[in-house]
Amino acid sequence: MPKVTIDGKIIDVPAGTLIVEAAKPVGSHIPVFCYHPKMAPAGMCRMCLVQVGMPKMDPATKQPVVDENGQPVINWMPKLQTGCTTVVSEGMVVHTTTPQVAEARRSILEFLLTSHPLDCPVCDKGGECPLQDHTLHYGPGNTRFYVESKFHNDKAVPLSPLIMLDRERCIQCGRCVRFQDEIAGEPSLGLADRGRGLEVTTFDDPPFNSNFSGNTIDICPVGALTSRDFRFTARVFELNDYPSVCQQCAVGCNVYLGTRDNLIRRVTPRQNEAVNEVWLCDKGRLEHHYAHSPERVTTPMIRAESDLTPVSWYEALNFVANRIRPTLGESGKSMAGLAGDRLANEDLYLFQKLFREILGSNNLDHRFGWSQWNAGDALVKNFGAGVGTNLGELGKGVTALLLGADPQTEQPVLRLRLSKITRQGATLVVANGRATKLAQYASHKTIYRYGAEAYFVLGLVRAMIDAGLHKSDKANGATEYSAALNLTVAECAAKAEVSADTLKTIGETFAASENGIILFGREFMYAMQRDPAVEAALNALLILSGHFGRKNNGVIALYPRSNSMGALDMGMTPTDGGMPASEMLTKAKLLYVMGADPARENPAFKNPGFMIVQDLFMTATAQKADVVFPASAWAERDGTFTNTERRVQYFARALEPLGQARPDWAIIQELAQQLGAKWTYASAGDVMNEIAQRIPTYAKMTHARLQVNARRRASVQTVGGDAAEPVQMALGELIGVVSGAQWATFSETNADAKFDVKFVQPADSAQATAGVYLAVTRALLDCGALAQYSEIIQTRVPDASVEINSHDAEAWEIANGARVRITFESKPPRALELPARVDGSVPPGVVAVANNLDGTMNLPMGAQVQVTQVQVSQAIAD
Amino acid sequence: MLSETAKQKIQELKARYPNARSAVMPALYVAQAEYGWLPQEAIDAVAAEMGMTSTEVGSVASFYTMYHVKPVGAHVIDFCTDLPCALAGADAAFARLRERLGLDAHQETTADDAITLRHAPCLGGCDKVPTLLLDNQAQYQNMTDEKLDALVAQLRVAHDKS
Repeated sequence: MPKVTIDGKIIDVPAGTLIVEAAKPVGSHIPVFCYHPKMAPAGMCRMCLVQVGMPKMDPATKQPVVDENGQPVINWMPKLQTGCTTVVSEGMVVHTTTPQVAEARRSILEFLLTSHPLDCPVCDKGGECPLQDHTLHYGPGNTRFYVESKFHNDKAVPLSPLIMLDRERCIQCGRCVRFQDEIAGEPSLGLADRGRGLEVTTFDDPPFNSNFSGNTIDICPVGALTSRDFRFTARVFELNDYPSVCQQCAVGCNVYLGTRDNLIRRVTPRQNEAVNEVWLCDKGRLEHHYAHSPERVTTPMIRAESDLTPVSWYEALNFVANRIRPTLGESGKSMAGLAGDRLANEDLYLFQKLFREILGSNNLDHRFGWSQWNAGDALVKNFGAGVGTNLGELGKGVTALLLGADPQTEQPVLRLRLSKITRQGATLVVANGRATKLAQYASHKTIYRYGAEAYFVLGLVRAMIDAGLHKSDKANGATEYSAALNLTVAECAAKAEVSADTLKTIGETFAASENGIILFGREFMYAMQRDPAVEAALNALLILSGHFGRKNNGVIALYPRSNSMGALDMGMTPTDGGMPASEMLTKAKLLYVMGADPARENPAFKNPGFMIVQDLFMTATAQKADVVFPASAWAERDGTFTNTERRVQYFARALEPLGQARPDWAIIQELAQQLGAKWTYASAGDVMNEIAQRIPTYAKMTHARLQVNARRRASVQTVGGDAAEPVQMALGELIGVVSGAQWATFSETNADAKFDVKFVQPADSAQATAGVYLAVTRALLDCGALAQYSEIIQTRVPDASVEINSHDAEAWEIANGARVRITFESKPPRALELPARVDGSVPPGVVAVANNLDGTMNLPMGAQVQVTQVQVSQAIAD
Repeated sequence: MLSETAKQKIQELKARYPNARSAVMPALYVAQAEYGWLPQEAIDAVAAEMGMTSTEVGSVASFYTMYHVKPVGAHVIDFCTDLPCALAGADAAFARLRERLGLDAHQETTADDAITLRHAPCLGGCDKVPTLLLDNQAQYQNMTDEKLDALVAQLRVAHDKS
């Protein structure tokens, strides 16, 4: 490691480190505008100029020349060097505080400010603006340019429905353009023209169409890019930034909820190098509006005669308790609880405790709709990716195998992080039944036939065994398995309609890799549900490859919602003969629905007799309820979510509850107390303490521990607040910040355990050759249960369409954009009419429809367990 | 819409480069030859052929002055007014030419869309000044007033015929 001297301090840094990065640990702050730690250096702004010297070398001995004091003689470079593009080398000496450097900084700032509008008092960035801060620290106190001579340019140019551009403020650092290109992989921003006329622009239609566009606001070092959602609603120094966790998907991005006057004004990413680094998708940034929607339910209600009537909490709880009390002990079995997996661990824990300990019922579930199935729960429990795995840092020696997932629309920030791992030296394999965005970055990508997932995985296992790369030291029955696996790689390849070479290469690469991670998504979970052979095959692949039980090895299930993992951990599944969701919706006599809306997915759903609904809104289910309990939004209480990588994360309370709404766990406790329970939880933290005691994997996971690095960001007005912190966080300048804690899987805590491998013959899918396979996909921005309350998201929701392969389109004589009628077998029979998109992302014989858009909502296809066959029976041209 | 020939030409160009994206510049010339300039539609069409976003293609097009991102006349005169040409009276020649074309200070293109006249930076013909570039193709040197008049007349005739 090169030893360098920065401002007189000697430091060892890894080879390849840039001067700006090497200066951070020694406390020398080098100001930057265009440089960003997450992006390749550009050297555009010249703000980071420093004085650099190299030891003088003796050409004869190749040794540094030393002076009379024994110190190396330094050859100073004649001009200042950019710290953001210069890599350190052995013996380098850097000065960052000399008069020469100070003069350079002063001059650069004077240039940048020649035509800067200086409208800081009305600029959203004012208060957390690097240009402001650097000018204060390093800039000239005055200007030599008259206001009249300033170059004027367009202000308030709408770049997209989400982003406003102020061309006068832009300092042309190109961070936004480089982010879209390098990090987001959606190059929809560009620099047009040149010289004085250089400007950030988009030529795309719809303009600047990226699901990550909001990040450009955060990284803009001036107020050129501002959020149209946040614009002029608060000064940043008036905001209280509460640490929270995004609840829109299972990635669990860390965020700050910036509040003022009890309203969330903006959501910005909070650095967590193990989860979201410094990024956030647009959905997570903008969906918070539901929290203060006027549609919120704010009082308890009970059904008096035919209408739901507002009542006091006392009345509502009494009403429910009186209804339940007489039947306690005897008919507990007819009571059932369904809870959504967006709720916190504390809520779900108490919910199941209420049912199991007070009501005496195991009829508990959190899965309904398309997420109702077993999603390889046992795989995760046994072989979940080892503690310490950081998906963004996967590099040499790691093979990541992504099966049947489309993280671009379902776990956007995960897609963003996985897209860089091949550049870091990792091997990324993407396999799905259709083309996905992430496949662009893959080392190996392949499209298998939907319905043949088991064959695909078995082919990998076979290839591994054939090459002698399998390990049987932790397997029971490895020899028998190998004998029972009566399929050759070629046979599997033929069934899965992939090339045998591909299957062989992937199988051998994965097995031979030092570390291996398998990530499987929603489309793969469909397959697992349909055919148990899929999970058995995956189980064998994991066990026989030995890729489990340690860091960078194991399996990650890409779950649908923010706390799907936590719901499993808390025991929100039917046990000991309890009814699963599908059964309880028709068989239970008393149903307690918390944060779920089964009636939305299935309009035929009926109140089974007595129904309690606890939610934020008058959902379709709530409208059929006997009692409605108003629950607090996640921002109005604290708690924990467990993300898809089993990382338990704390979110703080940022708002006062709306009306009489209460946290879910508190409502459950009140009801339990009415029924005679002696529960005395004073806070969600108390509930978490009990979880930490009673659920072994959650041992020691108290709020206090999870709050490390998840503290409130002090605004500059707060006593003791550090004004520099917000800027640093926005720039991602802090090194290695991580918060939350992952629980260890069974194979990690039981190092000697052996696991059974059993061959299960794949069910030969009865896919009729005449039919066309309907792949159900998801759109990121949708009209979902919460997104529908965010107007700004609604401006970007795409119209529903059906993706058709170009060969099929030709055969069926369907033009791009033509309306297509799709009929498929279901009860009752339904048909779908959508415009066709002929774009080659689906293979022949497959059509894909996102099931969360206008016109495709509530369709049984997403809710169906079996493969959905569709007949493209009729095409009506526009 | 780009013609099929143009699309085919772009595909051929892509095959010439180790990295197909490198063909974006010649591809833009193909589109410009077809449209006369590069409207959004042309940029979108090139992007579609190249498998790039319109923004990537548009950034390239707007950077180089030989791509016309604004409408131009049938013929484009890039008239050098850099220092050596200016010393040889290029400014006066430019002003006179502008007058002859009936253009005012803010106009670049004649009313009949025949000729566009623009200032150009150094064209590398400093020993034979004033100098101009016609239609990104041919350099005309030692441009006296007479030669300029003759050139304009010739361009007008060519334009009127077509």
